[in-house]
Amino acid sequence: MPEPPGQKITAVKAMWIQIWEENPIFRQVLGICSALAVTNLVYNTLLMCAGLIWTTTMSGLTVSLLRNWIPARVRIMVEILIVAVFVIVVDVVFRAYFFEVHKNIAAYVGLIITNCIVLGRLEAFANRNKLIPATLDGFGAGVGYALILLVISVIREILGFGTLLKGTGWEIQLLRGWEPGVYDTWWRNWTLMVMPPGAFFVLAIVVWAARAYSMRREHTAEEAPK
Amino acid sequence: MKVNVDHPVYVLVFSAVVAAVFTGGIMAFHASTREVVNRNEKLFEQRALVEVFGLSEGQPLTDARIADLYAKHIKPLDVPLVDPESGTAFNVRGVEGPAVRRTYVATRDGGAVIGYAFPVWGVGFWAQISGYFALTPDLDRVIGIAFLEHSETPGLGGRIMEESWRERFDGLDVSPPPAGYQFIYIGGEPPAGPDSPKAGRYVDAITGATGTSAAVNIFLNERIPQFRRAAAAAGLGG
Repeated sequence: MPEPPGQKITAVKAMWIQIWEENPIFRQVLGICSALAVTNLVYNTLLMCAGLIWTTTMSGLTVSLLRNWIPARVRIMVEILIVAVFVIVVDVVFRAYFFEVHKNIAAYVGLIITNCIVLGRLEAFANRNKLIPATLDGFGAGVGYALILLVISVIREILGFGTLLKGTGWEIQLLRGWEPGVYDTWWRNWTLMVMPPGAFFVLAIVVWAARAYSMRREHTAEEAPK
Repeated sequence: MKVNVDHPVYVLVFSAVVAAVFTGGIMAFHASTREVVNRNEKLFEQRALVEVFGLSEGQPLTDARIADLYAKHIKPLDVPLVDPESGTAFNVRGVEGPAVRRTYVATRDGGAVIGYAFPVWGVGFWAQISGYFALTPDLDRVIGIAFLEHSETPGLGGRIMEESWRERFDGLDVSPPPAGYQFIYIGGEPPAGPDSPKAGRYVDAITGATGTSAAVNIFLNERIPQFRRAAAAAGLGG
């Protein structure tokens, strides 16, 4: 959401706005394609979020640095180029140093380039603000995205697999799912939660809960004696 | 000096410089990690081959151990393998590259052949799946299966990578089946009894991933007879 021209906010405030007040997922409902795609395992979500935080932060910093030299008529092209470069860095780092991870989420990493949150923050904030606020704004947008995705992924992984942190080496088996001839238990892993449609339900519930909580807080603050 | 950032010449020069600097930077970064990436890819394939031949013997596979086992026991076959019926190639000599299909042979310390691992590939539930399938020297029993590439749903179809599912293939019968039956069955009705033509050829589908299991079932039943014909034409097997 574009900030009104001329409005002065501190760098920390800019970050906080992105993390909570204008959270990209539950307030702006941006970037939800990847929110649906990667959240069936907490591990995949953590890696995707790390990639997005890096990209929003670094692209915010770079666009802010170049803001006075970028011609208006090619600014989107330049911004996309900058975003693509930082996303390719993520992909190359995964290929070189986290190869197993790369095998799991390579398809999603490339999609960060088209994530609306990244270009949205560059257009709305970074290309008209100084270096530190723009960097913290990008960082806040990434963290705001990550917080909600982690909540969604914890719910989906527990209901879908009965585990937490599956694939990390610190896997915790919370619920043992029934498997014919292998485990005879009361719990049935909820396959829908692992598939993309399950993400729609959990995302909607998390957005509803976060908005309700946020609105209640605002309402209470308004009613408090001045 | 005040620069007019909207001047067409400035826009052209700026765009060219930015594109050159950023793409040049990323190319340099990519080139600096190419060796590590190539090593990772090679090691990933070697790990799959060590696993598919069952050479790990239950021990953890460190990078050094994978390289050592591969160097001692596994080598690419030096004969062309082409199915005379379909023209499908399982071993292409003289060309290198990740997309080139190769068949490997594993030998024990004394030189006795453990078996052959040939490439298997096909369309999965979402996209291409590829891997290796290893058979005993007479080509009638499975030694193992390993996958290199897939885009299946993590935790569902993605479980084709898990050893607990792959080890169910060990020792399966893949000799020519009676007319009207498949070489191998993944999912569906289990064999009715020991005399069923499915007996010794059946693997349970992955729970919750019927589509992936069915896809693997289809392409394995396509590749196994193709490879057997290619091997027979090259004089391999019993």
